[in-house]
Amino acid sequence: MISFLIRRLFYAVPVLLGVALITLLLFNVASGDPARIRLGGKGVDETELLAMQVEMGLHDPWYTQYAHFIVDTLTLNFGRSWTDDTLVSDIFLRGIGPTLSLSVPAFLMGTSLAIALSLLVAYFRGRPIDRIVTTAAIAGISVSSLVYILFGQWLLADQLKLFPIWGYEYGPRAILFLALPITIWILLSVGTDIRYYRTVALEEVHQDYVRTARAKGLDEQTILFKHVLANCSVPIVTRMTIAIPFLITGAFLLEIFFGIPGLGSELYRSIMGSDFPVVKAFTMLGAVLYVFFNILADVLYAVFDPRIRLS
Amino acid sequence: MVSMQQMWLIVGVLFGGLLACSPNPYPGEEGSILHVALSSPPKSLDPPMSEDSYSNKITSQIYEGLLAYHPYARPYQLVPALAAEMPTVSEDQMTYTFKLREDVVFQDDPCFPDGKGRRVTGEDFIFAFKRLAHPETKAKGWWIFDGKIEGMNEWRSKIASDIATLRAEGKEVPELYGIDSPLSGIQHNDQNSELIIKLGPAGEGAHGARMCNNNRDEDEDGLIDEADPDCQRKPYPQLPWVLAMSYAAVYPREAVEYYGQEFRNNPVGTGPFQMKEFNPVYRAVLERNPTYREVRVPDPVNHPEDRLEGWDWQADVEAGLLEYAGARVPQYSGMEMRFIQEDQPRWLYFKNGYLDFLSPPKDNMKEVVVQDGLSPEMEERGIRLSTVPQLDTVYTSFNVQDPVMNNVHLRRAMALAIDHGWIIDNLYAGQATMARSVIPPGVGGHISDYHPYHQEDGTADLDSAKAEMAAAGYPNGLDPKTGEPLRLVFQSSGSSATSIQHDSRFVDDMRQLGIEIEVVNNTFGQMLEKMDNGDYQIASLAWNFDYPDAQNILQMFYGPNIDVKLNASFYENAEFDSLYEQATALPDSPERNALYSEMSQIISDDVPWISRVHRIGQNLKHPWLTGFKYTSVNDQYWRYVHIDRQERDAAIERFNQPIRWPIFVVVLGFIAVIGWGLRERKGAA
Repeated sequence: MISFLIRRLFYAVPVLLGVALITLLLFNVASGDPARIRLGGKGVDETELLAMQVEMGLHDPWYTQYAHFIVDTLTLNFGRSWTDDTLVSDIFLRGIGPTLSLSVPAFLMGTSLAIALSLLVAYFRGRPIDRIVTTAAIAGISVSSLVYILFGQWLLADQLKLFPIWGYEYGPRAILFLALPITIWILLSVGTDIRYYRTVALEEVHQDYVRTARAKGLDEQTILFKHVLANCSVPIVTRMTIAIPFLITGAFLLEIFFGIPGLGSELYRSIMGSDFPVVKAFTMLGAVLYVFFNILADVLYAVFDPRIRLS
Repeated sequence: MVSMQQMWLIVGVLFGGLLACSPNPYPGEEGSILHVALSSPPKSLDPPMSEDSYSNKITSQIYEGLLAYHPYARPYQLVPALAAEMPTVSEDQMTYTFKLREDVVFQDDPCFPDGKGRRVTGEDFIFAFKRLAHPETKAKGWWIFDGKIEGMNEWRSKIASDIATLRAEGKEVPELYGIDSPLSGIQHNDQNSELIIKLGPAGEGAHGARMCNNNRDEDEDGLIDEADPDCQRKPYPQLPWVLAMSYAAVYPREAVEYYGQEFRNNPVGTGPFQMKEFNPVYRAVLERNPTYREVRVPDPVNHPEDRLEGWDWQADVEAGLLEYAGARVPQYSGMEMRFIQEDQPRWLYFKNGYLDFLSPPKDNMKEVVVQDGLSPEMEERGIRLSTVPQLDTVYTSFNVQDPVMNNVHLRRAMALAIDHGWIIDNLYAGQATMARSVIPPGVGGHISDYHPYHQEDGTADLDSAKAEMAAAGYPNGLDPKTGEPLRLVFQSSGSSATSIQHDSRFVDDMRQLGIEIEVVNNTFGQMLEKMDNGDYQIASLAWNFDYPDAQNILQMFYGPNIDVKLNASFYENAEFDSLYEQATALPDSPERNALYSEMSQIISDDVPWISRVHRIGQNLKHPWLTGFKYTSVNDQYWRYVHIDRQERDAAIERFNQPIRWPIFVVVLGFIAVIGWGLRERKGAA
């Protein structure tokens, strides 16, 4: 296990270095002069432009800029936002709360619902309900997320007046504003999850231990929710682990359309304002989280299933 | 492990929660709050940096300057704000003397020793103006004083040079280094409460041509002094307008020192409102400033001194705009500005009464306006629509120094090929008028009857365009060198659906002449960089006027402004330049307007730009909001409105009655399907 971990972490290093290099190239080279973008206004003074380029280290050799970027990333020193001079770390701290208040409940409820429905269709396997749910799941996946958001907002908030259209409050009142985006998040994710968990569940219900349990006289509910679910937990937990980075980086569209001031909104604002320090920080954060939780998923797989040997 | 019964209990709780939800986005709100939506978050609340309109909408409620726009007068007029009266201008128009009000205090704030705001003095204005000019501020608004105020450029250059030297020596530079060094161009006299602004040569320095009002350095000596013929003292008639901009607002030095870099998120001003809560991606909540001086809604009926010359106040009285004339401003307890970037939620918010006014998104105009006027839904809710020509010009710029685009016949042909009418109807939803001149209506110098390369009805004139193409040496659009269609490159800066539609239409219009347009996509910054460097042939932009004076747009054709990156079409015309220099030395007058008109005609002839449209600002407001006279030029007028809270609450309740029966249908349907499935399975077994 230890050697596996060390090896995976070792492999992660060139991946992250590559992401950092591509990020630097994209922002410092391909997107135009960052100093001009930062100063952008009515006719940039050449003297000021030069001074800004020096201040930003743009005249340093590319490998020097790259090294500084790596060091800054490792020390979590992403500098200040070009838009409002706020520390990038403060921007993260400001946005993480609203993001998690949306993503964590939505994810947990969506996963629970998907697992329950998957077990349900496993129970009704081959029957019309199985086909109805499966067809509905596929139809649901086929619809663009923007359609869910726009239609859901229009129907549930504007036409039926069940939820606030947009907005957020900190504290317990957040639940009033999160109900609709969470509902839409669940609708968006449940189709894909049902298909996956259904496959996992169906594999399990055909195992010998299930046949044995039935022969012993256990009812289907106990078989599904106690024995089958327990054996499905490995792929469930690993799938959930891989999804965690996306909970943290924020549900971009949901936050913008529903006014959740989370990391997704912060990222959107930064992209629209060409706020390179913030966007670069988000990019690196996303890469690090993705690599880390992938490694964790592999480790958890071995922990939960002793048949798996990490090598 | 969760049992089936427990799962049903959880589902039941969730559905119960759905039933309990309320659509009200302002739970527990107290007082009378103006509800506003901005379609983009602000970039900075620091006055020298508040370049974008969204920042200005917030800063104009908190900060004030010497002058302000009258909330109701049209054409726009300036009135004293923190100045006690309009300035006294010397005979040579080079010295402006402002008598300052003595009843103005800064809002209470922790930056002051005892938390109490103090009286505003002339020193505060000097500090604010110097900070605008200070090189370390990197102020977006520095251009309002650049090369205009006596000694200011020299002052700025000296500080920049000193800072560079200190840094080269590895020494730390204090914040606002050198800000207290003397500046001759702005003085104050505390005894008389006067602030004196002197215009003139910017002083010796290394900036060369940029230092002088006329921006020319013909002897190219790079040195400026009083005797240099390049640097004759020239008036700056636009000074009052720029002093009404947020860039020139006053704020206390204590706040800058106390908050440091966070000052841009912690405004401290003298205006009717102060910041209560600010989340840069969500909302700004302002509350009434309890120390705001006494300002009242103009009352021209009862107070003749309020009857500003040129203001048709009787019409505003009849329109009900002055229903609360004489009332102390503001008449409500605060405002909440939510940054709703997407069109749908913004529109739905307004329709349901959660916003008091809104400029409707283009795609929702069909819900607002039907053939003969407002839609029945709008009428039923008492919503009113205002349309106001915006002070802007949307244009297509040509780089006239490009070897292909320096052909005036080619540019004229392209101008004639554009179908402005189709574009206005289909891409602006009618929210624009064809630009017959580079100067929009409502601005002195505008002429509507001289547009040789625009048809009166806005349609394309392909016959004339093709004749111009032949005169240009490209008969039927063919490049004689290659025998192929002429290929030109168009720099685009937008990736939105609207931007793509505009670009596509331009390509189609040019194809009518046989010209093939290659569209190159850029970020906005990339496009500006290419234009600054002359590395383009064609680009499209819009110019929003900073103030209602045609100089603001005509400066973009003035030859010497190529050096300072304002003249991005690299257009040079000696006659135009001469007229410009004459006009910019004159105060607002028929004589100056005549010069502006003449310049506008030159631009119409030479077509360094194709003037496309002037956009129409449209605004919807609910009936409970009164005293609201919409304009896009500034947002200070928001403080003069009145909100009928009771009427609004009643309307919101009426508009937002929840419809819950579909929840029961879904739940029952779900139960029915499960029940049927169980029976079906049992039957099969």
